Amino acid sequence: MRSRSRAQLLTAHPVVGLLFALGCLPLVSSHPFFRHVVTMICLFGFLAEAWNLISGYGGLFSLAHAAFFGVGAYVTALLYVDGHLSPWIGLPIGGLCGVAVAVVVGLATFRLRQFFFVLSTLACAEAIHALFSYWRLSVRTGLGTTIPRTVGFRNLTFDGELGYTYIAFLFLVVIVLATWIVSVSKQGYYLRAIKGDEDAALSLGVNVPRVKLWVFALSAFFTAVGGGFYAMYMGYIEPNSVFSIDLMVQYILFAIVGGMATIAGPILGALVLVPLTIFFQGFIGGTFASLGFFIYGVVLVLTILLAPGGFVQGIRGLARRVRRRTESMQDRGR
Amino acid sequence: MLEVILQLILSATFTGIIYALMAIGLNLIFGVVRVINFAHGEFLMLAMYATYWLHRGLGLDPYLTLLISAPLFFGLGIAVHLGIIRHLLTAPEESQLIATFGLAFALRYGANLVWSSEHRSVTTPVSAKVLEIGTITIDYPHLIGAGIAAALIVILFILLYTTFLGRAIRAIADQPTAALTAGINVERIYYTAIGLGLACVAVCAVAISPFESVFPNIGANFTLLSFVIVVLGGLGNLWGCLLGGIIIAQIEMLVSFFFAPALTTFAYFVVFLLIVTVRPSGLLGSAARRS
Amino acid sequence: MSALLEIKHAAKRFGGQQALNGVSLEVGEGEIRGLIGPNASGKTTLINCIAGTHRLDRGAITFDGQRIDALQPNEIAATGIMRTFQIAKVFRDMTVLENVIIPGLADGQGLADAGRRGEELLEFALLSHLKHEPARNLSGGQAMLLQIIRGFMHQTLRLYLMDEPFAGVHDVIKGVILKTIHTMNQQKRITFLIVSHEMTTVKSICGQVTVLDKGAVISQGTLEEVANDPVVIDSYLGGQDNADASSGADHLGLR
Repeated sequence: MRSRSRAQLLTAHPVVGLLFALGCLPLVSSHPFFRHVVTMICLFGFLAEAWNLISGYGGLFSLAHAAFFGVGAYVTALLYVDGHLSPWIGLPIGGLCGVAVAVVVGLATFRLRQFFFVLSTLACAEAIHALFSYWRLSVRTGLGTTIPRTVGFRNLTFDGELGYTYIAFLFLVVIVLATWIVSVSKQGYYLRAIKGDEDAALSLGVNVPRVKLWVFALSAFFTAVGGGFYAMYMGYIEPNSVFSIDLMVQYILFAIVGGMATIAGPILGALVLVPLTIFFQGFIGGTFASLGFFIYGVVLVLTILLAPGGFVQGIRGLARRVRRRTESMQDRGR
Repeated sequence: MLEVILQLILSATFTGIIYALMAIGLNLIFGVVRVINFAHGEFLMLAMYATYWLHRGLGLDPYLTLLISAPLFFGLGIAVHLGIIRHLLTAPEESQLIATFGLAFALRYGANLVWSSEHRSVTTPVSAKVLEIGTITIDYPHLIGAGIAAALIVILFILLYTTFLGRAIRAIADQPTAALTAGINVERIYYTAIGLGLACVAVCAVAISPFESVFPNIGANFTLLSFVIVVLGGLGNLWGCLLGGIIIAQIEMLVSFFFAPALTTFAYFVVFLLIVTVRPSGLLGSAARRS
Repeated sequence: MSALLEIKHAAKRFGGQQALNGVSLEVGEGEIRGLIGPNASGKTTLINCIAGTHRLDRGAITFDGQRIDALQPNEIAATGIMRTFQIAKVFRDMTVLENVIIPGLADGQGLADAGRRGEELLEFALLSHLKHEPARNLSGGQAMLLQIIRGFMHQTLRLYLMDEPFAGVHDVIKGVILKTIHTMNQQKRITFLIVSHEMTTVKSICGQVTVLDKGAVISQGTLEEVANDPVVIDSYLGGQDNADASSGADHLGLR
């Protein structure tokens, strides 16, 4: 298996470089807004990587992740606000709740063909959203939940941005590691086989439903943890914001445009597109926030038509062309 | 009380026929070209805006704008096929999904940019008129809307079951590879089917404009509705669309009446999930149908 | 000694079609059995039912004394049954070597061990030079060979079901496939059940053949025997009157 591990090491370097650069970024400027952008890049890169696990590597295009995100946000927030439980405990609990939802959704939808699967995951996400809205409306007078700010590491609440930024960065590193471990493991091979031809994989002894389920669960766990972090970071959540399909579409977009089924792709996607998003939503604002989403739509269509492999495909193609040209120049020089 | 229920059922049936037309449009596109069209509702939204602006700009009776918008959207269908769909026919299914998803987004927020999120409604001379049969009151917009939809559905049935074009469309929907070897010009059938699908959407828009105001985000709901109806009735089955449309409209009416209008979306999803797990081939679909 | 594979009164219906109509047959350990019959006689359906892709409506399938007709395809693979598909199903975005090791991994072998065994198998099949090539670049025949070789990764393989392994395959590759079947049968006593239309090839490798028609077994024996069975001749000719009906071998394309 030598050439495979060699290729893996080569691809590891760009990702390591990216992560290193990203890690140094918060130190470039102490301006809170700048660090906020970096936090968002890390968080959305994290969410995009999580989605990529099941939808890129696994080939199962899921729109249910909004449910995992929202569940994680609510579990973490409510355990903290009502249960006075440290978010550091609340996050993994939220993650496990996300896993529970994923198992239910997965068992119900995995047998379905692609079209039905995608819509069913969307249906599940919207159904859970509706349920939460109904529940929050009946339990409280207002729809939203404010999370009281008591600064302290135990509460995952910080005075400045830096704490949040590095926690988000840590999450990103963890998921990159997890994705890499999965991809070089037996499960990674099974995933690619399943994505290639599910019937063949099954006939060769691969327990397809089980592999799908646990990758889905892993993806859900991370997404829910991301939701919990988001809740603590924003300080205020409501069903419409955390169960939002639009929010999910963003990190899905980053993964696709960056390059699905690659480790660098979602990070690249987030790195390039998050600042743009914040620019559109913050600086232009108002109805021009729509401009951002409009461009997203166009970018998505163009990406699929021109470079389905996203940024990573583009970069690899560029690298290949540069290499060929330098090789031919070397030949000529000889 | 009984009269109220009867009236609601009748009204819902009319709405259902219009929904059915929209679902038939999706069925034509999905069943023939086999591309998942996430932007279906957005095209309806565009068509509703077209109706509005043609009415405002040219002073036409909204129902007459059909004569312009139907051919216009037929052409739009061909353009969409040539520009986007054609390149995705050999791509993995997820690419088609993502592309139409992106298209839906672009259309929705593009509309928001150009026309703002203001609700716009159309009025016709008959908007306020009602027909009274005994104690039952039917408003003209619902009646005429359903009539137009039904007329187009009948025309489509005739087209699909008697003309050569229609049979070619059905052949490709059933057995794509066999149709190819039979010498049918598949490319031409594809864009004809998409064109027809969008023309249905345009007519649908005209039918509902008098009682449904348009705003950029209205598309999402209708996309979902179309998919639920298509799945409920059975993929590729036109009678199924008709039945599904009427049933869904009844469900919408019942949920609205007994619970809350906001829960109708939830109801659609529940119906969708039920059908997909219990009877994936739909009410009238054949179980033997393969991808 | 009871047979390795026993099928009793297997029935399967698809929509309006009765694909299997009471199929009963037995395959003994170490046999290379051919499964032949006219088009739509139920051969592929039978393979699919044994492999677990389809559930039987009625009947029982027993493998090594154990009922397998209710198992999932991956569970059936674990009992020691591998199968190939009529259209070669390879994992197009994985390399040839990666393709080969999958059943080994599923079987419990580690990545390194599976890699080594995979390389040995590829060498045996004369595919070593392609081991790092993405499977989508293979020719049809090479893909079929890959599909076949892949099954042999399974450490306790006992029964191999092959659906039209020779269809459209180049003579050279066909030779490799035949050699592989023969070697594996002799050295490891692996049993084969091979569906094929190619009578000369069937004759060269199969001991006994079973003939299916319209979802039922109509004859069994050596190829010579079934070729001269009037029932078989009838089924291939559709019951037409034919002056040449005396020589079944002619009609089965043996000469």
